[in-house]
Amino acid sequence: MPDLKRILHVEDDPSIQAVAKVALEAVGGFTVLSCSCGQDALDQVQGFAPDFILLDVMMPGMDGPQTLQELGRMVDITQIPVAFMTAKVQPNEIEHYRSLGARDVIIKPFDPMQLATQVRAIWSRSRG
Amino acid sequence: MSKHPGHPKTPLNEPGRLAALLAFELLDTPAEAMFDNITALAAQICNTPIALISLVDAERQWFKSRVGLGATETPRELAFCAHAINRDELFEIENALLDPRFRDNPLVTSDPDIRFYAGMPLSDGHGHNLGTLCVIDRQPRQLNEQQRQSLKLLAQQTVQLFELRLQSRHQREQAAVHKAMLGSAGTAVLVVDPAGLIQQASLGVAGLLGYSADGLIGRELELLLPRNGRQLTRDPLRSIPTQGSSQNQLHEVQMRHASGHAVPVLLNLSPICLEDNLDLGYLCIVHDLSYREEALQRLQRLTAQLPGVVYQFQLFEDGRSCFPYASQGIESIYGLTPEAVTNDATAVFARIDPDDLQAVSESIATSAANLELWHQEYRVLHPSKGLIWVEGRAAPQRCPDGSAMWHGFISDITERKHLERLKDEFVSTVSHELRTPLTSITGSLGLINGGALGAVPDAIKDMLAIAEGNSRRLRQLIDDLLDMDKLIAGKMSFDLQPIKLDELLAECDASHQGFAQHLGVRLLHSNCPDLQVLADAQRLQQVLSNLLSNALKFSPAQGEVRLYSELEGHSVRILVSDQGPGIPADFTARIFKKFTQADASDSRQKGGTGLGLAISKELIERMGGIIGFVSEPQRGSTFWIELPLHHQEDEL
Repeated sequence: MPDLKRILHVEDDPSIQAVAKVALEAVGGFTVLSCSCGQDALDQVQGFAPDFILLDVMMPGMDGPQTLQELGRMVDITQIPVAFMTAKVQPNEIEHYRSLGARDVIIKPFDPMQLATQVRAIWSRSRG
Repeated sequence: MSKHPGHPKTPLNEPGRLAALLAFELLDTPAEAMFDNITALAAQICNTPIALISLVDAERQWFKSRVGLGATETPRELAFCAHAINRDELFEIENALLDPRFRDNPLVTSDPDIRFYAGMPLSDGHGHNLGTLCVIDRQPRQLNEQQRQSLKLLAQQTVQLFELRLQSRHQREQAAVHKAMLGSAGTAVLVVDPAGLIQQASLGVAGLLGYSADGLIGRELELLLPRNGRQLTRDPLRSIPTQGSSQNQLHEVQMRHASGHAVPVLLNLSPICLEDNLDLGYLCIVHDLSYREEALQRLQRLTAQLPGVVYQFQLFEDGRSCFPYASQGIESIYGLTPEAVTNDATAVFARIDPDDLQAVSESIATSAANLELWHQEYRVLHPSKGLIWVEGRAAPQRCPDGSAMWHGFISDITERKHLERLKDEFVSTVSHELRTPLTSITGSLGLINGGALGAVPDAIKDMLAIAEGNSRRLRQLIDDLLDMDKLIAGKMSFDLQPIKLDELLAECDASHQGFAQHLGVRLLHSNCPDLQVLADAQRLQQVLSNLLSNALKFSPAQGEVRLYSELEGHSVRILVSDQGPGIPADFTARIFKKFTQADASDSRQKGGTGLGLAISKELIERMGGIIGFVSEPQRGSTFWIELPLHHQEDEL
């Protein structure tokens, strides 16, 4: 089973982007590529070849769900698990994200010391 | 002791006789010429100084008419007539001094010194002798046969006069009642012949239409109709059934007052039929409706002050609907006049936004079926204002014809909807724009304080801990405010699912162990029975987390907090007990209110927002549960929530 090493993180807020990067790299020991918009992620996903993708939901221009749809055309998201990070976590919203192909949802605000653990748990579950 | 031979016998039918006498209503009435003529004639024919119409009641004889006698009555036991009424024929005493029944009668021994008496009973034809027509003389004598015959005929004539008098009296009474009825305020009665000429008019026409009753006799009914409305009222006149039908017809029309102005009236027309002659004319009863017009105007003045429309809406069983009453404000809601919808509500439904029409129709149908208050917010395409939001409320009732009638009002809430949208946008902005930077601040501080970026010098560590603590507190306050806003607006949705209680409590226990250790408090979790509750897992966790963090925060160091559950009938009670200072007595009533803490300094010391318990109470109640607590000062508190049990069979 391949190991979880490379994470693509798409987030328009630079502060959250920075915090998540530190949390995943310094605490989790992963390699993180931070993208500030959906298009940026589409441009870089094939070159970076991530093991896991973390997507913000509300972003200017292409939002999280749209980005996920576009990513699905470029890479095999059955092999690269995708999780959303959002504060919009009503049961019907979570249901909607799953129907789009997301494996899980990480609730904002997140605990940076626990983020790497959460990501690893989702990754493990998706690998069955 | 035997009675004096002169004491008169009482007739066998005495009670019936007295009743018949009273029914003629003659006793103690003034003298009347027709009876005085009879007695004068009797005295003249019989050639006697005295003639009387004497009526014998229980105690006395009373004279309705008398000639030649001053007294108006005498005691019954002395009355010759009291003897006469026991017979059906003439009672004649030639010389009272020679008759043992009368010779010592004071009427014989003193004034009026009766010697001769002849009395013919006054029989009512039913065997009741009411009294007599009698003649009296102070000399002994006899009547000849012709005089006797005349006295009998006059007596019969007297009784006939009694009867006619009574009939006439009844007729006068009835006439007075009719007059009173016809003369009542606000009503006039006209009798119109088949040609339309007024034959009779009641006094009421003066007050109602300004004409004297006599002045209308012989005039055409058309005189009373306004010039532009004549045809209107002639038609109902023509439509009256004349073929033996007594069916009345009601018409609301305008009549013309003598001074020229129109008077709204209800016209009740009925043909006057006398057996086979069917064409005698019409009876027109005219009821004044101007009081109704005045009431309507008063209502209009009142409703003009109200925002929106006040209305009656009627839905018939065949699906037709109308607005029997709508205030002028219907213009501001639907851009329609009240008159346009009086008989048909189609135009109103055509103005409702097609996206909302089905919901409005369904809500009306439900309200009609259950007679429940109708309440709906929907959009209307107003011809001049464009798309507006309106809110309607109305109370339904069932009418005798099976239709449903609502009384209610509709107001324009476009402005309120606009403000609500602005508030929603504001709340959404707060939610996102305020929480996003806080997430970064808290996250950064968390990483530094968690050692992810290496060791932090002690001098800086304390300050960073304060910064992290306060940024968490600020985030909690924002979360609480947003939750409270959603709860108040009814916009928080709940996903009620069966939850395994033991797993839920274990999870809560685990997630609070770190905080408990940090405070030096022991958090104990008892084993829980294998049960399921019906709740929204996320919201239930939020409540338990609030109760646990309160209990931990208010516990003394080395204290104990226990999390456990108990079965309570069809519910489960989850309890969180602490060994803290307890709830002050003066605070217990306010504890679940917003922004309350027992001690104002608590929010700073303990880091609470004062919203946690208020939100917990709302959340638990929305999930069908209850929340409460018991507390003893200095011995601790136990907060509990009770939720309905979920049974496996419920899923079947």
